[in-house]
Amino acid sequence: MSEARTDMQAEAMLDHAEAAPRESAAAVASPLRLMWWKFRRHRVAYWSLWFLLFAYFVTATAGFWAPSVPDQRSRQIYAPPQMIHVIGPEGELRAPFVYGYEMTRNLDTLLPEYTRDEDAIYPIRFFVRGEDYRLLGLFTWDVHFFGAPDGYVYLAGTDSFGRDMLTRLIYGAQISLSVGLVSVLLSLVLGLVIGGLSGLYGGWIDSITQRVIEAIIAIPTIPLWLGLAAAVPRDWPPVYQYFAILVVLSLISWTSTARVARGRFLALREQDFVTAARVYGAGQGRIIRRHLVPNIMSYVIVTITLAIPNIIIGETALSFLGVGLRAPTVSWGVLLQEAQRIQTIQFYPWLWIGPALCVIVLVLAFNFVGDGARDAADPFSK
Amino acid sequence: MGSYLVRRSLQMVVIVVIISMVAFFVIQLPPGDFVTSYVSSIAGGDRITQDAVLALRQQFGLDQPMIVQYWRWITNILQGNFGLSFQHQRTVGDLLAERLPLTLAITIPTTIFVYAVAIPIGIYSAVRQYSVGDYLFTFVGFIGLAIPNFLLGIVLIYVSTRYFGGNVGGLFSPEFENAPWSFARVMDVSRNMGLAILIIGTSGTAATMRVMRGMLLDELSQAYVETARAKGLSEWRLILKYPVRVAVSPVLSTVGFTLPAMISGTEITATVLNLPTTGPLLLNAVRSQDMFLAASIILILSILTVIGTFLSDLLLVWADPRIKV
Amino acid sequence: MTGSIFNGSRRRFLQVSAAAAASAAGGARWPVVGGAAAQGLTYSEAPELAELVAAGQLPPVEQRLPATPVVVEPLESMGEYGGTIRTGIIQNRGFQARSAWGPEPILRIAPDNNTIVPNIAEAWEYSDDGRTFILHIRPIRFSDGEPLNAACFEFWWNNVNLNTSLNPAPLSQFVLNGEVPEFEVIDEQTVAWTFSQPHANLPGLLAHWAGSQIPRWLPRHYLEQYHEDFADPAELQTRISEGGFSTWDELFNNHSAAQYQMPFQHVDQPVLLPFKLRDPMNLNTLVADRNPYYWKVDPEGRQLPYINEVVVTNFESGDVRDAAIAAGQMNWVNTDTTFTNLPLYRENAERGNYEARLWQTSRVAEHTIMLNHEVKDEFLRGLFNDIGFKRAFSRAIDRQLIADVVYLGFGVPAQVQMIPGSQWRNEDWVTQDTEYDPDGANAMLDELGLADRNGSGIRLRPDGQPLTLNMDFPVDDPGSTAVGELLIEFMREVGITFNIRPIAREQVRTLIDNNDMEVGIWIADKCSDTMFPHSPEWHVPYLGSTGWNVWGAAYAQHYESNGERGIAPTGDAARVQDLFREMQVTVDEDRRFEIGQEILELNAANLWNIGDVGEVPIPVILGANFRNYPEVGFTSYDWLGNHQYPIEQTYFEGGRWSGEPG
Repeated sequence: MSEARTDMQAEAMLDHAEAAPRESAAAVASPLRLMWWKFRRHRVAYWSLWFLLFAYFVTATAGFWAPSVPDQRSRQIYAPPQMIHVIGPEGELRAPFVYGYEMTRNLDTLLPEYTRDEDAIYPIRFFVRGEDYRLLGLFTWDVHFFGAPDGYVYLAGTDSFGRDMLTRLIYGAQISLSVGLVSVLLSLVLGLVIGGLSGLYGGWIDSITQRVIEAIIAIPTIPLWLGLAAAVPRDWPPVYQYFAILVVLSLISWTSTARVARGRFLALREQDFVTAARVYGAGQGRIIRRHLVPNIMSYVIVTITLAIPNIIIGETALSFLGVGLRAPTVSWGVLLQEAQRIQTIQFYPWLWIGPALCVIVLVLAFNFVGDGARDAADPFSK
Repeated sequence: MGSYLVRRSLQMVVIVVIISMVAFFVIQLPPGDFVTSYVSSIAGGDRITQDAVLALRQQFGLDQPMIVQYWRWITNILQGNFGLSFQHQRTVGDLLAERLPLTLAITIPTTIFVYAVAIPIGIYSAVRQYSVGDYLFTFVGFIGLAIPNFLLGIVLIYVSTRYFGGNVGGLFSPEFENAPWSFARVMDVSRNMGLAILIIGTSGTAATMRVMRGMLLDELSQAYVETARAKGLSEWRLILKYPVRVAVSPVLSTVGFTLPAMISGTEITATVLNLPTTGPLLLNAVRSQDMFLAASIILILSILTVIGTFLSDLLLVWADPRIKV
Repeated sequence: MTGSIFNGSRRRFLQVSAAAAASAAGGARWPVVGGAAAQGLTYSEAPELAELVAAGQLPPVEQRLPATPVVVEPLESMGEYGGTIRTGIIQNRGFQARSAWGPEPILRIAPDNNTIVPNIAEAWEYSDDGRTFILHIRPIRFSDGEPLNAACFEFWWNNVNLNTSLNPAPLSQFVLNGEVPEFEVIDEQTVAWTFSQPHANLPGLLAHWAGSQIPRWLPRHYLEQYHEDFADPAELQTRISEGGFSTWDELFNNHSAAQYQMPFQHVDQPVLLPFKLRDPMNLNTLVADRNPYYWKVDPEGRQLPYINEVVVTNFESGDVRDAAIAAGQMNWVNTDTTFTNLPLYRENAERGNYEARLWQTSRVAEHTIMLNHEVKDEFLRGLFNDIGFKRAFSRAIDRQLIADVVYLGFGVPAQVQMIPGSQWRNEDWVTQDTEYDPDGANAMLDELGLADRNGSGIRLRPDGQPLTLNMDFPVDDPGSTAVGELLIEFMREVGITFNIRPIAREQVRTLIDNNDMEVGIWIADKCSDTMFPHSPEWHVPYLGSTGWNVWGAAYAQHYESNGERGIAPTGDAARVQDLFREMQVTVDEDRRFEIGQEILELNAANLWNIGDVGEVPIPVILGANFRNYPEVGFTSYDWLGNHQYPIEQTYFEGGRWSGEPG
């Protein structure tokens, strides 16, 4: 699967980050460099950017970081997360290790119950050999960043099949950080361009655009998905099918953004700097890109950060109709979907807290980077 | 302005007709038809022979061309008859009369709650950007966004029943279902209602809050704000007077969609609260291709949508004098 | 009491169930419902009804009861009046609500799960060499006091069942090999149907499907006002337009609730059930209270039911319904409860004042995995018709693992044959090719000319493509997803790419109708002695339009359409269809046994269905002080819950559920 770098900001920042030292030789500080300096002053944004870069790196090389492979079952089903210990049973200091589990079924409820097995001490080792995986889609390797070669290690617990949740979360990020974001961006660009043109030109273009938006909003999408699910070739791999669905999704989800962009552009187009740009013969595309979008930069960032959790969670709704991702493909949405059961809430909370935390942290990071970028780009900010 | 209203009204009629046609077509996109879905829902090994299936199609008029079916439906509507739901064997009018009031009774307070909470917090976060409060609201907001509504719903149900003796779903706890109104009953309803609003409103609140914050930040960086500040206007008066009015424009731009969204998007209400709202009615109608029911709800939705966008256009002009229609 | 079943190991559990099954089969614990008609009893009634009588709003109990009320022998003890049954259904599926109301079919399956006993009809007989089926109807009253008689049957048959604007085609259970019988009214309480051959399955059918289709009678006195043949045209037109309908049949269907037999909307609709509608489904709660004209009494002459009312709550989501169970808001649930939720039910039982009992089901296996024998891909078709491939497929499945991972350690390997206790059960056929043997499976596949593999270890078809099987199933069936995920792994072990695709139920229907399925999966139910003779959905491809049999979908279409559609089966598949045709017109019990035997033997020989694990029970949620219900019973969807255990003789000890709110 191709690793789609989707966040334009992040990528742009990355380029500048690399470019910065070389340019410093040239005494003139370019606007981009100024922005980068300003961005670096925003500590939260700066570290969030590094976090995101790291997250993408981990995702791209998921097989190495994950202690197992996502569909590797074990006998430990519904095992709670293990704690990492450094103090042994006799109070002695040891290298980090986890205790093994003893599983018994409660004879009344049949609930699996785990107790710590004090005799089973599984030291955590780094760069261990384990399950085979494909690294970067290029070659097969079996070295994992960490693992417990003597036993097992489940830092995020296991699911109903005894599969390691940490592994599934890491692999799940591959879909959630790539495929979904393409659709976010596509819908954003569509919304800004269509809404922008509608607002800039006004008149009959605006009328038609707005009526189309009304039609799209009023017509429910479910029959569309069901029809599409039947139309997409069944032999396509799940990820392709899902991608096709997402593209269609973005073709209809641009409407809100377009309404907002239009509303703002209706106001902005009357302002002097836009008129000035037009007088100087700037094309509409340029006016949108250089003069109008920067004025709603915060809104654009907000839209992206709101759309990311939406699209990740959106898988859930799609799976419900039988058109989402399906086993054995794993994504955060799939994990959240599997967790929406009252039994999970009561007995196996790690199954939903894990993926929910991942989504929250990811979105927060995007949000902070977005905030930082906005501030950096804003000539008026302090 | 007068000619604008006339033009808009004409456009509204045309678009509603077009939407009703497109919707009628879209409903039938999934494979099969209502009879397929009816037959596949039969439980317990009942038998319907192929002949009966064909006869059923005939009875429901599904064997006719789509245009004929559409004509039959739309002419009935012009006479005030929304037709019959195949699935429920009841009139569409009946079903809607039963569910619409309840839907509005739940969604309107929720919508008010969302705006009442989100807009002030959004303003606060923008003005006090990067304060502790801003980070806190950001964090809480994204928790609300990152957990699917349904999951959030059952987590809250679990917590409330387990630790607060709450009720699973419903506006009334069983002991108050048929009781006369009393203080205890009012408390019971408000508690259940509070939970409902929390479950349904969380993600909307979080989203509106973020949008409000973002727009206001954009607006605060405009030159005129600096100018006004330089002129010595007090900070809060300055902010509330102009930037906030402009910054609510995304809210206003999409406020027109809240009406139709209430009708079509209340599945969570229905699932978590067990209330028969219109959301699942539409969902099931569309899934089972219960055409007249689905098409009628969509017709209502489209009427609400065009009226909604019209109102929101007027509001936009009101809020931001720079906009001309 | 709770959990006694699990005080031992799984083996112990199985022994207990086997014992229960044996006792059930050995002799009727219950003197059959309706067996005795009351003689010389003094009748009494619930205090609520006595008040109404005293107030002059209701005639005395003697006048309300029929001349000879049916006496129901309680399971354990005489009951006490009072209490509320609280049950939850999911997405308004009518058949779930029905079981709580106490369905009253024409005939009834006795609590021994086998014998057919009278109910609304007091007797039935075959005459004229079995070609005429005669039904003697009890002289009982509807909930509004009007009598039930032959006219109600005649009305349904002539004016509803054969009326093409109300009913596109006559009810299939009365249609024998394509022929509609002659109906006649013999006297006030007797009706008869005459076929050209004996309709041997008819009593079984009348005892089942208790209203899951159109009932075989209707309250004529109530419905005539909505029927074109009887009502005054002007009045009818007024009713149609007042109701907002366009045609009279819409109005009639709305009032007859013919699809459900349960009045969900119209409080005035007369019923014969223990409870009648009081508040229609409003705010998703429906209340039914005692039917004052109910026609059954206990041995002391007290009019049934003991329990005051039934509250049915609708849930849009099964998980929220389960949350309500766990929160102690339900005291009677046995539909859509799954064994995998047992930890939830049991863990919260004590706090919720209920117990979760485990009952047996008509599922011989939790799933049947079916390879479409007329799949359009020619190579796959050859493969699926090869018994070697099917045996290899079956042996590649680690059934113990399925039991451990999906079914909480329960379940025993089983092919799709018959449930334990069935007269047709053959242990060899049930267990054949169920042992996990991936090496053997691999060797068998190698022999089939599939020895070549690609770089990923997937076998290659002769056309060079990797061998891929696709399984489609409804997305609303989580059990299939779990088993499907394991199948992916099992098949990978033997070099087959196995894809599972959960899709919308309607889409599955369309795939089956168009013969586009490759592999299907469904719950292997209906494998009990009371279902199999008339509904052998998995063993015989006969159910074309509504069935989910994938292995012979095209054959079923052919059978149902008398050769107009589908594909004509050959060999053994044709033979089982012929046997089923014979079964329907064979009254002789010995011959019926032989027919069943041969059908099952052919199934074993062909392995048309591949089963996973069987003997997985279903949890039944009952209030902690709910009485007169079996400890180990039998329930399933095809039985419409468990209507063989009369709800009217159940009661709450102390007259009230111990967990009653407020």
